[in-house]
Amino acid sequence: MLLTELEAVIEAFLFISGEAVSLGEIAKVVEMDKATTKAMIGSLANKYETDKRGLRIIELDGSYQMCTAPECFDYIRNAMQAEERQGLTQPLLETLAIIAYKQPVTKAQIEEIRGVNADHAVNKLLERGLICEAGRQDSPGKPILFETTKAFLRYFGFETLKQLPDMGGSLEKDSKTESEGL
Amino acid sequence: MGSITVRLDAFEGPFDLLFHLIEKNKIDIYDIPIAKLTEQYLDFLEQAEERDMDEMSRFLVMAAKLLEIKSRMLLPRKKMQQEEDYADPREELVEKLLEYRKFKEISKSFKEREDIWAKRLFKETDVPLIVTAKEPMEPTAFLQGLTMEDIYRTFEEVMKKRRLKTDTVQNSFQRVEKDRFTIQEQMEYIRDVLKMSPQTTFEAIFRKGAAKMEVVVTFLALLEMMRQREVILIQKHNFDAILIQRVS
Repeated sequence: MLLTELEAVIEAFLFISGEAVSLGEIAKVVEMDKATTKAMIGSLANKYETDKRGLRIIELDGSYQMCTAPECFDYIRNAMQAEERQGLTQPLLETLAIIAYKQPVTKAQIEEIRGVNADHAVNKLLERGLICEAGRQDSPGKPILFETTKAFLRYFGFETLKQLPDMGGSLEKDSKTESEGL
Repeated sequence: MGSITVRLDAFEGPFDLLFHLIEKNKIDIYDIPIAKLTEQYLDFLEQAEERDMDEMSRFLVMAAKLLEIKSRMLLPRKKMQQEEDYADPREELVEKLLEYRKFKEISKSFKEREDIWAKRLFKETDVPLIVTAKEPMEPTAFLQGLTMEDIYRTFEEVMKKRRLKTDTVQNSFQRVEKDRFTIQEQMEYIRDVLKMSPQTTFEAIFRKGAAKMEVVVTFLALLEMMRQREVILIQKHNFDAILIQRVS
């Protein structure tokens, strides 16, 4: 089969999967090595972008998933009468940010930083599948540790945790723009 | 000053409130006038609308902390300590405030990303990835590689899902059966029994193999007949057989 024909196979496979599939799995489907497969996925994703098609392919922690193009969102939402997705509240966002940067982390550590009880926020985040339990800390009381999930990456469009914005960045930027202004 | 009411729940917590005060008063975070900040913080709590203990207690710990720092700063230091060993009592608080601010900033960038990425929709898996065969499959081919255990586990899963789905309250209402026995009928029945012999035992009025409902209704019928003084019950000693006697 030609590579372009195999691209079609990848397209079909991603369409039917409905969840993120690893590069290894895709490679197995098209019977190619991982490097070639990755290149084909890249080429396919590129076509969607440049032709302004209604679909996109995103990478999540070494896996790939198909989703709709953001440009289509407003029309699609009207048509499907999709429920307005409830955005995360400020306490949830702050708690999630702490977990993302400090993971694996205990509830007590989160509370230490925010100065407020974290029960509600942690439960809500667990409910939405953005975080999960990650074993227990080897300290008195063996508290539960939490970490972020693949759904978290997908939710904020990160490919890997390495893409999280630089922690000190926001503070440094302030001083930089000030000095540039001068 | 007392006329202004403020709401504590507008703030995420003590750090959030402190930041609000610091920004409002354009305080340099690295050189906090602790006495002034403490005073404002306490004023704020004073004016707070809520008198809910839970809500308040979140903020009171910080108030105590501020007062402690304030008092430590008032203590005279020894000259020896002044230069090297002296640790600013505010240092710990400032560190925490800065760390909290970092995450507050980060959460803003998360919010922006959330808004952008909410516009991408994902397809849910709705088709199980099983190849559908065109021709009817041989059962053996269809079941190939499956062990009894696999099937049992799948069955268990299905049953578990079923259990989770069923409404336990609704489920406790079982079939409603038609009343097959009425008290009137059972009273007639007891009268019939007593017609044959004017005295019988308590056990004898219950038919062998009678369903629970029948036993209950028969018992109620007996009670009704006692109330109407149609029958009397006699028991000579404890645990003796109970005798039912017709009142003539």
